[in-house]
Amino acid sequence: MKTFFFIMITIWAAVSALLIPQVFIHSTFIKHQLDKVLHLEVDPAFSGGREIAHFLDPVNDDYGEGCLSYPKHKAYTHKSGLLDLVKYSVYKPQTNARWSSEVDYIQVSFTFAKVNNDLESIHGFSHPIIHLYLDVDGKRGGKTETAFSRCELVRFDENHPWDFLIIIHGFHKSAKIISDDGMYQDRATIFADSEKKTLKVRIPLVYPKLKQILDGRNTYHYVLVGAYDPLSKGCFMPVKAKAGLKYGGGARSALSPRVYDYIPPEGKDQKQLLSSYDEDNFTYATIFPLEVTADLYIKDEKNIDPAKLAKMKKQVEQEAKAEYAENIIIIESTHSTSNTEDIKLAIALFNIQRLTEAEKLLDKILTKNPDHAVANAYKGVVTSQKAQLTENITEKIQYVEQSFVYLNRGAALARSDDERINCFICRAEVFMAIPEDVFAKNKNAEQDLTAVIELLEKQEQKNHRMIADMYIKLALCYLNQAEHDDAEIAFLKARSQPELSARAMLELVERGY
Amino acid sequence: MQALSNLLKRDPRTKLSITSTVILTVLMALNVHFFHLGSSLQDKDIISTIAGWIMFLFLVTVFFLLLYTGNISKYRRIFFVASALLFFPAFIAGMYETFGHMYLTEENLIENTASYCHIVTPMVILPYVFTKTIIFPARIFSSAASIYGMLIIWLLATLVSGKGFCSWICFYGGWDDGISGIRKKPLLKIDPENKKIRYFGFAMLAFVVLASLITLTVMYCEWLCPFKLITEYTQVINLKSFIAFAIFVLTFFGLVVVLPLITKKRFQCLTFCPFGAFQSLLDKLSLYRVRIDTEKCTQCLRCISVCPTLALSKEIILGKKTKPHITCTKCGECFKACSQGAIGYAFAHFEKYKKNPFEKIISKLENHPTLIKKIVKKIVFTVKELLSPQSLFIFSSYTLGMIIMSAFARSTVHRTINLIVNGSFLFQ
Repeated sequence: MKTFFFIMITIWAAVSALLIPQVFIHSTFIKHQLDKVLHLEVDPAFSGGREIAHFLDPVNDDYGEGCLSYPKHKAYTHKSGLLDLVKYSVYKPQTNARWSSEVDYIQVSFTFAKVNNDLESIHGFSHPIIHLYLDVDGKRGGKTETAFSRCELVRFDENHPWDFLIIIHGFHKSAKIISDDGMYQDRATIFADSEKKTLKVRIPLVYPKLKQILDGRNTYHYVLVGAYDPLSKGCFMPVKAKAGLKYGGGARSALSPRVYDYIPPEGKDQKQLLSSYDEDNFTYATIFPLEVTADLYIKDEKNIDPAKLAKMKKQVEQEAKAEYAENIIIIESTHSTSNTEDIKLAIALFNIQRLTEAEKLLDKILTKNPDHAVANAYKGVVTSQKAQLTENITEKIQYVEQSFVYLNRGAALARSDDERINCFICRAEVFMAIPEDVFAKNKNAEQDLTAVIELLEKQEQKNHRMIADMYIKLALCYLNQAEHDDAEIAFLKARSQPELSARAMLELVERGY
Repeated sequence: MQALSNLLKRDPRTKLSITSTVILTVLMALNVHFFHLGSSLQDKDIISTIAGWIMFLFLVTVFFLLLYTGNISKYRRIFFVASALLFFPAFIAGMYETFGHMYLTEENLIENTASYCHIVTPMVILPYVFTKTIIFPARIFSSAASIYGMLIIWLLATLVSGKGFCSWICFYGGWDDGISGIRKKPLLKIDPENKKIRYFGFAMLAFVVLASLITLTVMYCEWLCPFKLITEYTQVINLKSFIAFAIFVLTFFGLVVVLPLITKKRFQCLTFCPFGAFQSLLDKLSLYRVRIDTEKCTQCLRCISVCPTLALSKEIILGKKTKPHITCTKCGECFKACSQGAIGYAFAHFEKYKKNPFEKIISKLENHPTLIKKIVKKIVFTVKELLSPQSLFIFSSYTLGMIIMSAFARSTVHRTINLIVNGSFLFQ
């Protein structure tokens, strides 16, 4: 018995000694399996508390009442999304905060579609100014007019007059807090992450009225985004009928709000609310706040209708069948006469996973022309797939190394936009498929996918389905790097495409978008 | 010539045969190739490739010499100290490249981008049980410095090496291990029987775990860790952070430099590191132990004086006990000191297993002098050596240490060559 036990422990020790590298190679998989059991989460107190509410705003709606355009100043030309707020989050108020210079505070965050620092602001956000009006006590006190006259050109819901205004832009170290009577002035700390296109603002809860937030009552938030102009009233750049160097364009009236983006409450429409001014009676457009219920923790509830989901899955299957059939037609109708025909055939074979045949063709193309960019790229993908089929570590690494050589060569040789798109996609796919802990290539995949999206966006006839697919891949790439905010924006951008594949649609719906 | 002969001098008590050494070295070379050379080969940067090859040659050579000479303590220390010395330059350079400085700002905390360190592990468990959150602002996924990344390393290291983590894997331990080995004789003698010193680490562990639970902050990390000075610390912005910084300086120079140097004991690891004490408690989960063969032991007590963690005492040796104290880090210092070869690695739950199945086969073959029998005997002997606790423990621990090292060692070598060739240690 003791001998048997000794032999068993020897075998176990030998096996575990040999398997140590495997644990690291498959660590991404193991981490995700562990996560399914442990659901580890960092104490939200470090990052400003648990998010109690977030409001998503459509992408590309930085047009105010419907037709506002950016100023003609060179800092704005050929740029979109700089004033496009896509997400506003409110965090649970923190008391006796740890590892923070504020003791009691509430944090809010703003995420934009695009960020640029042409004007060299401190925080890396040159263009937007955010006015966050807060109603902390319901109907009891506050104002329904804006803090500065002739600034945003809006008025506020009578049921929710604002009590505090927080002025946030990239040119001051901290945000300014003003009370409705203009008496109280304090500073809120701004933390900017231009990579994530997010501004986080910690509002200190020192002033007694502001401290009411800690009582757990509902608060009401008006989030208004304008173009920053230090010389204008309240720093909101004016808008006129035609854009100029120092003012935006597209205003329909002298009463048009100077607000490029605003998050309306559910059921209300930005364009409708911002165009609700009355020229006859000279009244500004009335806007309504977002309601934030204190202590409510909204964890992305995905109430997906099972019937709808089943239908979508069927559509995905049909789409896959159609794609398969399309590839078969290509295979049957294409004759191997030239490299152009051969690569078409090889891609079709690759798409239906006839890898050996695809590889033979690719080899044939590369023998004739070793500098064929797309053939190199696909050869790279095929080679990397071989790594998945073998259990031998040395072979695995050899295949991955070989695939990198082909993929990098393909990307370097690509000349036309189409070639670049093909080669970058191939490389990104491989980068995302290999273990992150060993190769750490998700960042490179992110760069490739961003380049592909830029190339696709540049095309005259945009392939929206493909753009959406790329955004989804980019989002997944961000998720692999635990960049959840970036992933969320990429998903939102995929959702905003006018046309989506069934697969993309399903992915978005399953993720609650 | 003399130096080379010293380098290759074999210890008959712990050496492996050349066949076993070559087999294990080839296997290790494959692992090293994958983790240290793999990514540098695809790099077009020649310096990166050279750095990869330097690491490859260094690690494979040290491993070969470790097995071939049987001088475990010497070559383990070379490997372990190299791990510590190669860790911090790459880490600090990475901090400068990413943040422009080597301290953590509030932004880093908000974004949860602090590097998760294994020392934090015992401090986050109880708060996790009560709050269901980790009280450390690190990434959950992503790199090896993420929470799950380090969790996997810790679980694996615990099962394979147990407390051996502190002498083979920990990239901090090499500091006081190296410094404690500088002097030939201690200036200040520590009594090996001193229980207060031996078990102080456990008091420290209890203190930091409870304090972390009560305050819901990683107490040791925020206030005490000596290695903050060479990794990352919170920005000095007020009196509190200044005091913390001053403590980091004091603990580093006091516990990691001065005390190990004058006592020849691993003072920081023994008395201060909560993770070390934690691993001592978890050592029962590991596959390997250090065992004393009481029949061979002549009670000369030389092993007691060389043990850097006070794991051997008169109580153990004179009391004819087979197990050292739980502070044993399986470093192998005592193997070298023991002239009888009475101390060695063994599998858990086995004292020295005398009726080793391989020994039985070998003894049966002893009286058959034919060539085939000799070959069979040689094969059985090699298999016995390869599957011995010593070979398997060293192979496993070295593999783990080498993999952990891969995250930064090549980068340090790469940066150093870059500094010489291009004049910059930083890449950006």
